[in-house]
Amino acid sequence: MFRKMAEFLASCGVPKDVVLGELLVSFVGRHCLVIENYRTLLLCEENEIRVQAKNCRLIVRGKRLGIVYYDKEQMKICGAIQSTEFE
Amino acid sequence: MRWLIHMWQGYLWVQVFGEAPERFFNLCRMQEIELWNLRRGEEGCFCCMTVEGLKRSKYLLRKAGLRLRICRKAGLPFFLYRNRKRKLSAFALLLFAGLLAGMTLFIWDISFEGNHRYTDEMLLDYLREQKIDFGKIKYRISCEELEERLRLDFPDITWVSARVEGTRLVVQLRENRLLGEKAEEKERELPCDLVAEKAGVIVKMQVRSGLPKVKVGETVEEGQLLVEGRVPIVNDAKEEVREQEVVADAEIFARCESQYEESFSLLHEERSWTGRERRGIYLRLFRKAFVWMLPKPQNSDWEVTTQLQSLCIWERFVLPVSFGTIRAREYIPYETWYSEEEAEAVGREKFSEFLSKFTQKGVQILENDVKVVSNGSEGTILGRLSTVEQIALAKERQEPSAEETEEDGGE
Repeated sequence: MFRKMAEFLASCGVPKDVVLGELLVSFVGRHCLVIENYRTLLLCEENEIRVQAKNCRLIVRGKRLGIVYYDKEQMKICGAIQSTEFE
Repeated sequence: MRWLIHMWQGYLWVQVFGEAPERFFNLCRMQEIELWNLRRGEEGCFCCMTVEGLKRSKYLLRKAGLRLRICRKAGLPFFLYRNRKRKLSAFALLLFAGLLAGMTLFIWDISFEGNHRYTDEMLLDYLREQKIDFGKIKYRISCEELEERLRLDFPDITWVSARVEGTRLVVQLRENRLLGEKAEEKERELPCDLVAEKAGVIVKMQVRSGLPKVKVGETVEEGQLLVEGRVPIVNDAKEEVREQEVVADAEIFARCESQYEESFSLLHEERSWTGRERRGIYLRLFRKAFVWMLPKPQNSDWEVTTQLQSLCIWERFVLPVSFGTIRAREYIPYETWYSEEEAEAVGREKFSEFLSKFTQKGVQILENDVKVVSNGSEGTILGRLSTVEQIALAKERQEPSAEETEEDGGE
């Protein structure tokens, strides 16, 4: 029921990240990445950062990766980003 | 902005030991403990946190089974604590801040915008006469008064605005680009006619006062009456009862053809650079200027260029210190003749300067044609112009001659 209501609202033009809580990923060039609507940080390594979202996991791979800041809403990752993957 | 808050409040660089620091990071996030600059190195996990955050996170560290080591303390509170014994430095810093704050009370730079006829030096001299100069206290300058004085003392300035921006006095002005004569015409009070200043074909006319004597499309000669400075007063039978003399006022534009001729000497001075250079330093402190440069050798000519820069903290906070470099290049002057191509280029440049002056006066140039003729030691610019310009020229009304008066009386 909730899913159907959410899909209906999404079809009405309401953004999916608001209605369904989908992950929102914004790139700033190839060295910065802003993730919104995430749940928890799973792994923080120099070459890999894993983030849990509501429906999926996001894996950011690269070199010299670091989290510039993070709070309840969003997280900013900087470094030489090579790839992003959903699991 | 966050960086500034962190610096103001002070923060810590910490190293987290143990397995799975991610659990600790997630716990901090849930408790709204601020962590930033998280980085995993070979030696462990590093991050920044506030002092308050460290106190609140002790329980979470135990819960996650981690240990924490403070690597570095940064920010203003820690800086002040570290330097608490350096009283002289603190005093010097306060003195410097006080001096800067004190200097913001004075004017250290005056700039002019929009002036063409009046140079910066002329206006600066005028301001000096009005006791407004570098180093004047800001609150003693009345911008409204200055604007009024400028308008009164320079009749060609039609609009002026003065304002104080930081330590800079900015004077913006607009000059009347029309000729002085035309400005005077507007002030006429005695009845007058308008006659043609030039021969041409009238393309547009707008009469505000007076009796028009020509129509659009009509060809007029130089000196021909365009608008008569009188208004006939008629009775009910449309007969002229009497006339009233007025100041004729109209805008009459005509298409005019004119010739332009100017001669210039083909002999001119050129400079041959010897390659010798002298360099120096220029420094201005308040009103005093200092120049450090080797003196120039006797019987030699030098071209000196100075590059000046005012010291400013922000764009609007100009300090009373200017510095710059001086570069002098030696040259030997000699006289030479323009080649045909050079003469052509010089002639065309002079003609384009003449055209730009014309355009500034509000003249619309429809066509122009120029030819430069070299004749021995002289070059002559022969130009032909087709323009649309105002041709109405005020002329005092002539009193009706005695014969005309008699004739009128006889009739």
